[in-house]
Amino acid sequence: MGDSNRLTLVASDGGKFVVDKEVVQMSVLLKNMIEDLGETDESIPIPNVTSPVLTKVIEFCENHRTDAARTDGPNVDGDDARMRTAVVSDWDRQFFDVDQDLMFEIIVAANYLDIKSLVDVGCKVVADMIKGKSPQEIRDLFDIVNDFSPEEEAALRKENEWANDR
Amino acid sequence: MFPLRGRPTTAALRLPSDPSKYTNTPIRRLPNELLMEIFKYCVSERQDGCDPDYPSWKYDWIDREWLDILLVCRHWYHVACATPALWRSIPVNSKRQWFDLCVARSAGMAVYALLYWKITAQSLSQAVETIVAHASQIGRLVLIAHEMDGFDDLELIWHTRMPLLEDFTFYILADHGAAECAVAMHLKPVLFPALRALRLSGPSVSLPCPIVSQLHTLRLSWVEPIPFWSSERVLEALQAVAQHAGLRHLELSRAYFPQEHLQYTYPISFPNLHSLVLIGYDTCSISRLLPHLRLGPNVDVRLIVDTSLEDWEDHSVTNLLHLIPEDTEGLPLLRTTSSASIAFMDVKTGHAKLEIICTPGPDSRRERLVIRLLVETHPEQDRPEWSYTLDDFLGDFCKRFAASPLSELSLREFGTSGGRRASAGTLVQVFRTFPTLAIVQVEYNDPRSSCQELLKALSSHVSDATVQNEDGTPKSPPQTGERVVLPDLRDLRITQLPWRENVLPSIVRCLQRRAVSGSRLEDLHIELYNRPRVWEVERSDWSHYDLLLDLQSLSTRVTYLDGEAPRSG
Repeated sequence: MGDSNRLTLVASDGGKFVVDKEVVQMSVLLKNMIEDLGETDESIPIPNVTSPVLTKVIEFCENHRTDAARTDGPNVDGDDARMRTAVVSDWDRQFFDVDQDLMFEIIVAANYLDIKSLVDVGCKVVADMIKGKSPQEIRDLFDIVNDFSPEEEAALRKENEWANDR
Repeated sequence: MFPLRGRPTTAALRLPSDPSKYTNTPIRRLPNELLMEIFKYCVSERQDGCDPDYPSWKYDWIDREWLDILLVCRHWYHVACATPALWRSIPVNSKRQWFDLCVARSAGMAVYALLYWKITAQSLSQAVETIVAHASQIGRLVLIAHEMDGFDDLELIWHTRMPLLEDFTFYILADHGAAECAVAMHLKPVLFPALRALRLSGPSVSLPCPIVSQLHTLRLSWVEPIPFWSSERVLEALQAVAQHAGLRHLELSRAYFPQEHLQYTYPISFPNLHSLVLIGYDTCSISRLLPHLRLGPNVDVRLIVDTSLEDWEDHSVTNLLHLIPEDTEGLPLLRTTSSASIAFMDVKTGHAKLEIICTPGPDSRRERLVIRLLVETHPEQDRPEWSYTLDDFLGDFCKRFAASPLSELSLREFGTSGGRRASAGTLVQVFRTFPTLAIVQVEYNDPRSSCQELLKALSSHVSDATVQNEDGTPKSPPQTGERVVLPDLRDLRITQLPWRENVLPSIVRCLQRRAVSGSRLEDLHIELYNRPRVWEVERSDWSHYDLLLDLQSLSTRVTYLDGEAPRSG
C-alpha cells in the first residue's frame, strides 16, 4: 500500500509524477476524479498534457497550494470580480518567463485540468504582453499574419473611430 | 462576406483561407474561450470617482486602447466581437452608432454607460436621448459634469425607468453643484428598483430619502473643503443614514450637512456597516467624531485627514496617534474593528501621507499597529513650488514625530536634483529618529537615479557622527556587535532603479556590513532595469551570478528582477 496522501499522475508521454493530493486538488478535474476513485493506488493518466507541461503545472500548484483555501469558497461577485482581483506576483511572472510554445501549452493544460488560478494568471500575463502594443507589434509578437484586406482594415479603423468623443 | 456590424455568432467565426498559416503559431492553438479570457484582461480597469488614498478628483474613463486587438487579424476580430464582456463599458460621449453597436454586442448583459460632459448643450441632449433609448439595459450609469449648464436635459433621465440600474454616480465638479446633485437623493424607488449604490458630489442628507433605504453603498463627496467645525454636521448625517439598516458601505468625503433637519443624539450605532470611509476632514473633527460611533465587530474604517505637515502638530495629530491602541488602552472604535487606518495628507506637497493602520495581531486579540509614511517627490521638474525639498520634509517630519513608532517608510523619487531625492544625511536622521522602522521601500523613477545615498545611510552605525569619509569609505570600520541604524529592519525594497555596474556590489557590501552587526533581512526585493545583455557567457555574467548568490546569503528571501525600462517615469 502506498502513501495515501500522494498519488501518481501519468503524462501523455508516459512521464510519471508522484505528488501530494493536496497539491493536485487545485485542479477541479483531478479533485473530482480522486473523489470518484476513493482510496486507490492507481495512477491517474493525463492524456492531453506532456511531461514538460505537467512539470510546470505541478510547480505552480505546489507554489500556490496555500492559496487554494482562499479560492475554494463561493464566489459571490462572479467571474468579473475574480478577474479584477487576479494578482500576478513576481513569482508568477518568472514562472511564465518561458517560450511561447510552453506558455500557451501551460494555459491550455490549466484550462483542461480546470485550475482557475493558473488560467487567470496565464491569461493576464498574455494580456500584459498585448497591452499598449499596436496591431502590427502584436502580430510580430505572436507571429500572426494580417489577413484583412486594405479595405476591410480601413472600414474597421473607421468603425473604431466611432468610439471617440463627439 | 466579412461582417463588420452586428455581433457574429460562433457559427460565423471563419478561419481564413489557409488555416495552416495560423495553426502553426503557438497562440493559435488556444481555444476561443481562452482567447476571450485574455481579451477581457486587455481592457484596463476603469478608475472611478474619488481616489480612496487621496481626496482629489479623478475622472472616470473608459479604456479604448483595447480596440486595437480588433485590427490584428480576422480571427481575433471575430472572437472579440463574440465576447460580450468587452462591450459592456460604453462612453456616451462617443457616436450614437458606437453605443448601439456595443449594446448589440453585449448580448443582453447589463451595460455600464459613462457620460462625461464638457460639451455643448446640443450634444448633451443627444447623449441623454441615447441613454434613455437604452435605459432598460443600463446596469451602471456615471454622469460627470464640469459645468452647470444643461441640467434641464437630464430631467428625462430622472423620470425614465431603469430596471437593471444597480450603480449610479453623479458628480458635478463645479461650485454650487450640490443642489443639482441632490435630485438624485430623491429618485423614485419604483423607477430604479435595482439601485444599490449611489455616489454623489455634495448633496445634503435630508429626510425622508426613500431611495436610501434600498442602498447598500452610499458615497457623498463635497467638492469644496468644509470648515473645521463640521464635525457636528457629519454626526448629523451619520445619524440620518444610521437609520437605514441595509447600508453596508458608507463614505463621506468632505460632506456638508444642514443642521436644521436633524437632531442628533449619542452614540450613533452602525451594527450592519461593513466599511466606513471619512475623507478630507480636519483632525479636530475626526477626534470629535470617533468617540460617538459604535460599529460592529468586522468593520473596515478608513479615515483620511486633509491637512498640512504644520497642522499635523498644531491640530493635535500627535494626540490622535496616542489614541491608537497599545495593548489595552486606546481608541474604542479602532480596537473593535478588524482593520482601521488613518491617513494624514500633507497638502503643502500633496505627495506625503502618513498612514496608521491597525489590524488584528496573530492571536486576533492584540492589535498590530503599522504606521507608514509615504512620500513622493514631484514628477514634474523645476516647479517653483517645489522649493520645499524632500530633505526639508523628512527633516520636519523627524522633528514633529520623533516619539512615534514609525514602522514603514516608503519613498518615491522622481528625479535626482532640485530636492527630489533624499540625501544620505537626511535618511540617517530618519533612521535614527525612528529605530522601529521594519520596512523601507524606495522607488526610483529617473534613469540617472542611484541608490548610493540609501546604501550609505543603511551602512551607518547608530553612533556614527557622519556617514562616510570623502573618499566614500565608511567613517568607522564595522565592529562585530556594533549596532547599525535600523537594527530591526527586516524588509528592504529597491525598485525602478536603472542598472549600473556597481549597484549589486554596493548592495552586497551594505548588507554584509549590516550582517556583521547582527542585522539580517527577511525580505530583499530588487528591481533593476536596462542591464546590458550579453549573448555569450562572459566573465561579467558569472560575476553577476555570484553577486546574486551573495544576496541570497544575506536575506531569508530574495526577489531579484531585471528587465526592460519601465514605460512611465
